[in-house]
Amino acid sequence: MSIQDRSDPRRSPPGRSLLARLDPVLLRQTAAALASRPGEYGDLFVEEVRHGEVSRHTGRSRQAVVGGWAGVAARRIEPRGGVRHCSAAGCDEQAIGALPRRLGGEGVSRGGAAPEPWSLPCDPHLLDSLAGFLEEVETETLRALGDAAASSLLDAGVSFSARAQIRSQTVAVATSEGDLAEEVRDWSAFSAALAVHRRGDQPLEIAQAGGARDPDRLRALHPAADVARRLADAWRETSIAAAPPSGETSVILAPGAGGILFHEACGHALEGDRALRDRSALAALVGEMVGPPELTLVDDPTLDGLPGSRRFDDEGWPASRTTLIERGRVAGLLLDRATALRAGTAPTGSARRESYRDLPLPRMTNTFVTEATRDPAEIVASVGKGIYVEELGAGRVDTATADFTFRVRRASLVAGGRRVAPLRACIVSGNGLRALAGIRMIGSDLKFDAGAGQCGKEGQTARTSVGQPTILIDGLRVRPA
Amino acid sequence: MSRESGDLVQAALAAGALEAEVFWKRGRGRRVVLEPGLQPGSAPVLTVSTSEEEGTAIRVADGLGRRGFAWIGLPRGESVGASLLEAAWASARHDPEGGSKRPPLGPGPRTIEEHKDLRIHDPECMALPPEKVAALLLEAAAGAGGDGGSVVIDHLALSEVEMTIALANSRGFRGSYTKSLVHLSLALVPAEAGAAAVVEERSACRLADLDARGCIREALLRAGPSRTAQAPDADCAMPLLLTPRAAASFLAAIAPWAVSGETGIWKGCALVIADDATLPGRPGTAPFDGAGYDTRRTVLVKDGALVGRLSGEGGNLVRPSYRDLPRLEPAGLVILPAGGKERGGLEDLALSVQIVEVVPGPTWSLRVRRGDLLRGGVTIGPADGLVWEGPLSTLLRGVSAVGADVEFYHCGAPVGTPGLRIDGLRPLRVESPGRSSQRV
Repeated sequence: MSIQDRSDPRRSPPGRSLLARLDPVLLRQTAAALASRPGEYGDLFVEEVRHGEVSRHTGRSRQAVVGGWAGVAARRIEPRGGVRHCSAAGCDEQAIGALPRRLGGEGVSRGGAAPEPWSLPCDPHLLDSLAGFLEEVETETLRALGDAAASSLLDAGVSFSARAQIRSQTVAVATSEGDLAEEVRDWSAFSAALAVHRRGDQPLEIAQAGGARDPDRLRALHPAADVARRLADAWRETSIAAAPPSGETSVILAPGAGGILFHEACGHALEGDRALRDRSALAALVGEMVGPPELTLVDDPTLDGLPGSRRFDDEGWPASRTTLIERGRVAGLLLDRATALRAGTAPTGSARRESYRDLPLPRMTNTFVTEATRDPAEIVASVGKGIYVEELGAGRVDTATADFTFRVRRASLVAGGRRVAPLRACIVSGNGLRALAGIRMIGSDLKFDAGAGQCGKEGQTARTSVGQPTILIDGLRVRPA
Repeated sequence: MSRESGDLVQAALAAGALEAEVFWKRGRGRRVVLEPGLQPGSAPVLTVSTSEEEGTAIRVADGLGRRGFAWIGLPRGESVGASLLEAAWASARHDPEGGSKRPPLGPGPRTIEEHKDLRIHDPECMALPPEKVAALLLEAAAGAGGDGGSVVIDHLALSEVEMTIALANSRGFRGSYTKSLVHLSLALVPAEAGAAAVVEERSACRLADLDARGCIREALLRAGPSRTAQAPDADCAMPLLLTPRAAASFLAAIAPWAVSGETGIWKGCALVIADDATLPGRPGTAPFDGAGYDTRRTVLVKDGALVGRLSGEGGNLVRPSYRDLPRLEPAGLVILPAGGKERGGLEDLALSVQIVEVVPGPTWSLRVRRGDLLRGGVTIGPADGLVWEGPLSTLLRGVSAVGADVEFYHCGAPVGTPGLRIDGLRPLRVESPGRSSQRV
């Protein structure tokens, strides 16, 4: 990779640029000092995070949390794949210059300029904006349910809870190859839920969530009245919902509703760390047809305004679109530097770390099935009997066998080519490879999820998004939850 | 160490707080991971990651009694204290309640600096060079024996952490302690059909308490190829012995019912389940909880009834990081041992189970991953794949004997259990590793 400078302080809002406070020469020298022997690679990761969170629970409490951290991490990858990594809280120049010594190398000395005082972790106006949004969602939800006051909900055993948070992150990465990159990555997200716990039954919960780059966009993209209406509609549906069918059936995934299935069953299986260590049934089939020619699955961090969007990854490698399945054929893996070394190829810009404390892992960002040509209405009309999934919940996938199980939060029964009745919560399960082979139609209506998705892997959490057009899959197993 | 926290409490009071509490944590850690080499047959790849972290959190009640919470992950310093206070006020503005009816932020005047009896600090933690740790891990793996090559190691990792925690509040509580945590994780992946991918873990405060060989042995047992059981007689109730490891999976699965206050299901159950943050050397053990209250043993289930609950002032507040508010959570669930031996009446047993997989839900299922059918105390064949399904209460009522020795495991969280005997269960079906099932 050529030496280049992807830092652009003009893109960082005032006060947010790390490179305006830290000497780029020091960062480059320190990164270079991490890789002193031939074939070694080193990088330096500097991070500053401001965190704000508000929550409210009807009849109980409201709470705000304000926090923030700053930290640095240094890493060396050895030619045979060994990794040395160290991290420390704070990001003053002396601490940064000392990092190579902790990895057994030579430190980089500095004149010792005093670190700047830490300012307020989170802008209070942003917190106000999030708190105002949640209050509006609660008010509108009560109105949409026809309740004048929260107390009537409480009397019925129903609780409303909502939570919103903002994470403002500035990262700078310097590598021993001479790269230096800086980026501000902000994301705001909310969730709102109505829940009732009936003795002897599983708790019933209806939730809505969404995300956007900042609180203003959050309110614009997810107006409180819309969130409330969707919550109330889903709540009412629960009282008239029918029992789901049991057994193998056709499943239609509504646009944006089923992307999590591809994220879990295909995306994780094609992450380099799992794929290259025989932990993935799908990765063993690279180059082979696993689905219909209309099926293309990509991971794309370069799309604007999605939770996984970024200009470069957490190793400073340029973000790029990676095709995982191309026209039905397994096409590629998501690779960070360590797994690329193992694969003998270049990284795909897929390294992500939850914080400076964590080692990078190859991970998804914005993962979606691309559009095909079928009219969504035609897809529904083609199904004699099946279910139409409007919202998938939590699930489990064994990447080694590709077996998966997901909870379906919201669905309707399809009969005679029409959606005829809402269904109670159910479980959909199957095998990822058989499900891919069972894809019968793909629609033309690509849609992403609402932007509140988070993915957990090896104890690290990352914001991700998923998307897909309407998709019809034959032969999935469905049973009541 | 609690003095600096106390200074910040005083600063908050001077700035107008009615109440204040400061929680400070500094830690250093190391994780050594062994993974297969880049090429088949090449030397394992070693990853060594070290970390240093420090952070301070403050909880305040402002002049109107509104509660605020803020934290900063930076080394202590004057600017950190000032920023924290400013952030705490910003947080408190969003609390509409105020008033004085809330419980206080923590206990009253007390100083806790000693905790010798708890054995929660290991001076040997992180003392060995990483290469030596890697060599010991490999030695332990080799010493535990293989299973004939049906599984291979995906990774073997040892994490060590040493942390110091200091807590001070405006009611006069001052406390601090230093604690170490060690965690061993072994992941195996199948090398041939029928084997399973597993992660087996152990955690403790001291390296000497970490049973590495036991961890590796259990992992191999769990991952090895399944030996399908013959369908037993459908009318035959099978007395069942859960080894401590199998009982640990069971305890981890029933934990939510013991903690959440679900009362109905415990009737007739012989188990005594407690949460205990005072057991020497256990990961959840500490001299005081996340708000400063004395830790203790809280008996949750006894005599077939829910007899206790985790409580805010009962020493049950857990605070894993300065970024977390204190929250009610078990520090370490234990099934308390009985006086006798769980193997009493072994000759009557029909089934001995080393490993179970438990799927909680309205209809429970309990599947034998590894077990043996017995007759007169002698193994007569495999029991792998036998499945029971039914209400949890039926399973709990069947517990007829509890062993004498508690063994500790890490099943998502630390748990301790003796072996258990369960009577009156009739197996529903046999599932092969591929999950196709044969009803009995």
